[in-house]
Amino acid sequence: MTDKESAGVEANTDGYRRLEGAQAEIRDAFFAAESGLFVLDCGPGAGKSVTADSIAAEDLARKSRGGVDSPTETLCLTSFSRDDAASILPGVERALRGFADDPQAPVEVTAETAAELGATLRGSDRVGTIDSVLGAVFEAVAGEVGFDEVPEVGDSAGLARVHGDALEAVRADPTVSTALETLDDGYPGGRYDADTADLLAAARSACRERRLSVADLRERLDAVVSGTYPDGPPASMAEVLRDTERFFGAEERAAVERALEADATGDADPVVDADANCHDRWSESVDALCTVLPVYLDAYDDACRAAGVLAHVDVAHWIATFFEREAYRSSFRDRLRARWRGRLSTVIVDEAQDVSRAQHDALAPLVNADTRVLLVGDREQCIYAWRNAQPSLFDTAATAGRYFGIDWETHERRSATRTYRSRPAITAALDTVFEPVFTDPTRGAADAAAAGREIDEYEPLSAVRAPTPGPSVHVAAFPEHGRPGSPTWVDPAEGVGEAEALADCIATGLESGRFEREDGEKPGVTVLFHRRTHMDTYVDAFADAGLSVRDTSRALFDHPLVGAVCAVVDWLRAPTTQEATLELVNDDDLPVTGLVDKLMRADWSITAVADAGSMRGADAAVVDGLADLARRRADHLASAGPPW
Amino acid sequence: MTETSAPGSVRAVVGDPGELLDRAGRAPEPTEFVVTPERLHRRNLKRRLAERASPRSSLRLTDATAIAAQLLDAAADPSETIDRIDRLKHVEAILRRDTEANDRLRAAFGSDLPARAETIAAAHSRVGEMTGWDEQRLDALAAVADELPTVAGRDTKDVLAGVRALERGLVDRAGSVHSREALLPAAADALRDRPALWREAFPATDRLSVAGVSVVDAPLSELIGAVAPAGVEVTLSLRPGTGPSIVERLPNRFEEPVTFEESQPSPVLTSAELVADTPEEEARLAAALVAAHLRNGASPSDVLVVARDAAEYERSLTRAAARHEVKLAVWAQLPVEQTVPYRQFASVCGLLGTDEPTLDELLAPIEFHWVPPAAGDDATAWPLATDNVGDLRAGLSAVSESDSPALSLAEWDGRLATAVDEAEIAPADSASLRKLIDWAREQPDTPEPAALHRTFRPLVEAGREVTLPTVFEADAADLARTSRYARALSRLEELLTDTRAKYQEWLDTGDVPRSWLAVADLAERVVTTRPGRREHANAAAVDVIDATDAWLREAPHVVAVGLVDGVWPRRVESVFPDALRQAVVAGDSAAAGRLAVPGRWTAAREVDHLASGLGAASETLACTRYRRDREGTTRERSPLLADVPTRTVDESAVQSLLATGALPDALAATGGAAR
Repeated sequence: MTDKESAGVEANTDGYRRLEGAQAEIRDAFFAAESGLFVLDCGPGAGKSVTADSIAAEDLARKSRGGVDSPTETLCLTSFSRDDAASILPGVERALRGFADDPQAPVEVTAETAAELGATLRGSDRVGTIDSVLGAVFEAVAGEVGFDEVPEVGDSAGLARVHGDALEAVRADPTVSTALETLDDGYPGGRYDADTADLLAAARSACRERRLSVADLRERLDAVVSGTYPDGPPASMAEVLRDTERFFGAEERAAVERALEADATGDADPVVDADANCHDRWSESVDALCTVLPVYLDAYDDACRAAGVLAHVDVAHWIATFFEREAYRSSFRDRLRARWRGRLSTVIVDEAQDVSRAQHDALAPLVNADTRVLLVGDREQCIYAWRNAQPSLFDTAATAGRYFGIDWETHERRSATRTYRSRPAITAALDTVFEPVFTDPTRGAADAAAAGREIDEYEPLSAVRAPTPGPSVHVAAFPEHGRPGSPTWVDPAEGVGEAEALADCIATGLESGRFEREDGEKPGVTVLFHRRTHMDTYVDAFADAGLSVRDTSRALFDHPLVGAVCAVVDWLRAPTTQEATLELVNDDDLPVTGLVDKLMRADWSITAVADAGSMRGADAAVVDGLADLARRRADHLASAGPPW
Repeated sequence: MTETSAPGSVRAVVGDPGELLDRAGRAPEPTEFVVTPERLHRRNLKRRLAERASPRSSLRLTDATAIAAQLLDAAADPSETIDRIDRLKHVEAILRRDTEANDRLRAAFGSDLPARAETIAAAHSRVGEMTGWDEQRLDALAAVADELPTVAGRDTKDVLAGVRALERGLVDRAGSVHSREALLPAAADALRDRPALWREAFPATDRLSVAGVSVVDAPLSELIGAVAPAGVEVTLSLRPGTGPSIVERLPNRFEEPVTFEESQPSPVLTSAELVADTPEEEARLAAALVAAHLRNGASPSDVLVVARDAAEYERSLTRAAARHEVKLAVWAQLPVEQTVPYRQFASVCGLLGTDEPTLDELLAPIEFHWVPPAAGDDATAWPLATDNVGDLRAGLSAVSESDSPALSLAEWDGRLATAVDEAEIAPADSASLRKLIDWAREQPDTPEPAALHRTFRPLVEAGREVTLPTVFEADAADLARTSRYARALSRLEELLTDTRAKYQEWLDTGDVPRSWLAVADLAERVVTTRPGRREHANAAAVDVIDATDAWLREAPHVVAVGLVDGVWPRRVESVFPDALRQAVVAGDSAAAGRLAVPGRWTAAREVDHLASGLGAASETLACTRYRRDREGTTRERSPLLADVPTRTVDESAVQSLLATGALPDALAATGGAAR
């Protein structure tokens, strides 16, 4: 259930709910000021998005009543992820309709005006994901930063080609050949998770997302090396053991010492040398990476311009760079900044804890001290760190009143632990699990500990919903087999494993009515997994228990038919070559057998095999189809359009 | 018959254009000019008159530009306009200058003005449409800009200053009547100076009708304003969406009083509304509806599919219709740059224009079905099959030292001989490439304009005589590929003529070098800036047309697709700040009221299109839409449907239609859809 789907205390039309508690307080503060930074920082199910939508709707309604021209143009309302952003428009429209129907609404608006505002908002390019809003800004900036036309954003195939072109340019540059050799030696392809190409791509991404210069990146990488070798490379076994204890504890050190003593013939020197060598080679690799990276970045940007494609992070990067760098100073830049700042009076960011540094810096030029900014989020629900979310920005906004590069004169913060979503037993379970996590200096409180700040006390959640007569938390117990997460744990050869236990628990609960909905409808059940490893086993167990399962872990296009289509399209680039044809017929997804021999005898011509008529049934249909496609290659090339 | 107005007056009628048909008759010379915005509207008018067996020699279907040009010819004044390609060329040259006006444009559009030439040209056109370049109207526009909020006002004033300077520059370079927006007011001026000019130019014509328009821009209203006092009876046949607001502004723009009539609109049928989940499902729904009508005995000409933009639906509807073995004729522009004949033309220019072509450049013409002129006697099976081209590529690569050699044609000839000697290429296969090389070496290095036809006409003929039959032989039953190829050959012939004329002009002015690459570049400009006609693939098929082209058409069964907010109606767009657009559209101030409203600045013309589309139906009407677009975003019902009587077809009936082809009750026979 999302934040917005939580049933409200005073549900009116269509899920509309009047704000209360911290929600109402931040709303009051928001509308009491002409400008400022307003932060609503609250836990799960606290109605953050409902608050954002309601304040947005009220903002529009007030401006409409006040005779402001095109009020929807003055509002920017974004969220980080696509799913959350998709619910923005319906949420605001719901709130507007609610205001129209609610005699006690904070603002008066007619049903007609509410509908009009909603319809106009649908066409706004200032509502949606942060990336979509930045895309609209970038349309005006693209030409200024070297693009002939507004590029295609997010085309992963195009970006893969750009990456390849940039690498080619780097490898052809003699000034970095030595550095490249060092990287290739340290990270040979095929042996580890990442090779030189992957490292460069990751470094580029890190620099762009976190707005680091190459020097900044080098500093951070050097800090990791020196953090791993605080006293430099070891010169003796004693120093190796000292580091072992430092990082793994006294017990581990003792174990290593015992192992060394047990092997009297062993020589400690190679161990010391290997460790010291690791430090030296690591440092050299950092140096090599930071030597190659600037060349790669330039080549990458050139390749982007040539291909007319960009990644979302590059859009944010270029917008921020355009507005920051002296080289781009112009009357047009001033005008563009004035256009946005002159029109935009309200900026609302939902799930603000997930905004990245790049996105923040790109939005910042559009905002000035006359704007009203509302940030809604929960530091503890930052789930996009892997996508370079920077929750510290939200922290600083909440605690210090600084955001978008502005120290806001008016700064209000409200927090809430009231949750409208979960029953009391569930909130108690959440508190039990998360209190030790968020107060642990090595886990949830690591940032505070690292910064030397006092670790805040955990604030338990407070459930608004009443408890149910029966339990809200159900535990499917089973006798343990093996380690948690192992195949034996999930589905042992004998006895009941986790998969079957869980399936039984859910199936019997549904059948017996133990899992009920207030509205009497049959509930759906969402099962969340930490890893995909054994998901299929659970799916099978659920199916065996008579449950119908929708497995959303399977990628939509991860289907043999799609694989076959891709293989054929790839083949059509050079359908008459042995190499391409062999690759096609060896593709697992292509539903035809016995073709290789026939192709060998037909000089690798699919057309010749088709004309010979020696295939049968479905195989013949596939081969005929391939031959037909090959014959029409001119049509395919033409319909792709000229290379303008 | 509706009463007509007196000579020298202007009458505006909103609603039924049928009275125009009633006035058609027999006459030794046309007594009435009928100006329509689209060629297809003229076609519809002729068709309706033919259906009524009405003579139409009293009518001359024309456009305002032709009328204005003839008036100016009669006055011995300049009347030559330039085409869009030339205009863009001049615009780019003017934008490269270092002037204060260009500095102001840079503040509004960015530092590289020539790269924004098309956008700036669009702004220039909008000002021309709003003002006709009349000084008083330009001042009115400036006055509106003064009332705008700061940044919008600054943007507007900068753009206005820039495009006014641009207009002055165009007049200097291309003459005072270089565009329609200048030509019509010039003709109006000539007529005002000498009202007898009309009689001199058009002795038998005493009536001017403007029909089916969604816009009466400033240049057109200037012309009308001068024509009426010259003793001509003027009728404006306006459309229901835009008509009322046009009429509201007319008194501000004409000196003559305007008589206004609103004819009773023909009642629109109650539409069956069918909702699909996705755009593809919607296309399948529409195709199923068409197929069901045909199965029920309707002929293809009795069924009409209308869309806001037929081209956008071409692919999905064609695929969906193929499942039902229904032939569709989609009236959309052929994207000629995506056809084999055009790519052949471009690749031949590339080959002839390069001293040392690469292997890809050498083989590209035969990849795109190059056939030697007079190939009839040739033993080779032309055009070369994909396998043969592949063999040539492999054979020549095998004897090349580097990965991508670039050689002269003579060197490639030698390389080809080596490949044959080394048995990399069969002698019979080499003959085809040798023919291309020999043919290419016979073509001039630096072509004169006449060379375009000498070089390419034989290739087009060979394409028609040799390639087209092979396409036909391999084509599916609907002959879609054959039709497309044939249309592409016809378009290529037109392109050769247009490109040759442009090449000659630009050679004379020194704007291009004498080269095949310049020819290719010019052809590309022609193709991209001069859209072709909306044309149909073949007859005896169900027409799929832009809704606006349904004006004056009738069909028993109409299916309107894409009734989704944002698709139909489209989002309003403007190259000017939105505040200016709103002020001009609202027309609240005296200054704003003097300005004509550019057509794309309001959603009202979307209403016109819908009215034409739905109004064409005489027996049954269906509207379809989808819930989620291809990105998965929820899409709302079109607000235009709020004013259309509809009856939603329930989900089970929709699924039944898709699964079994059963027409929903609302559409079966005369089923509940009576007027």
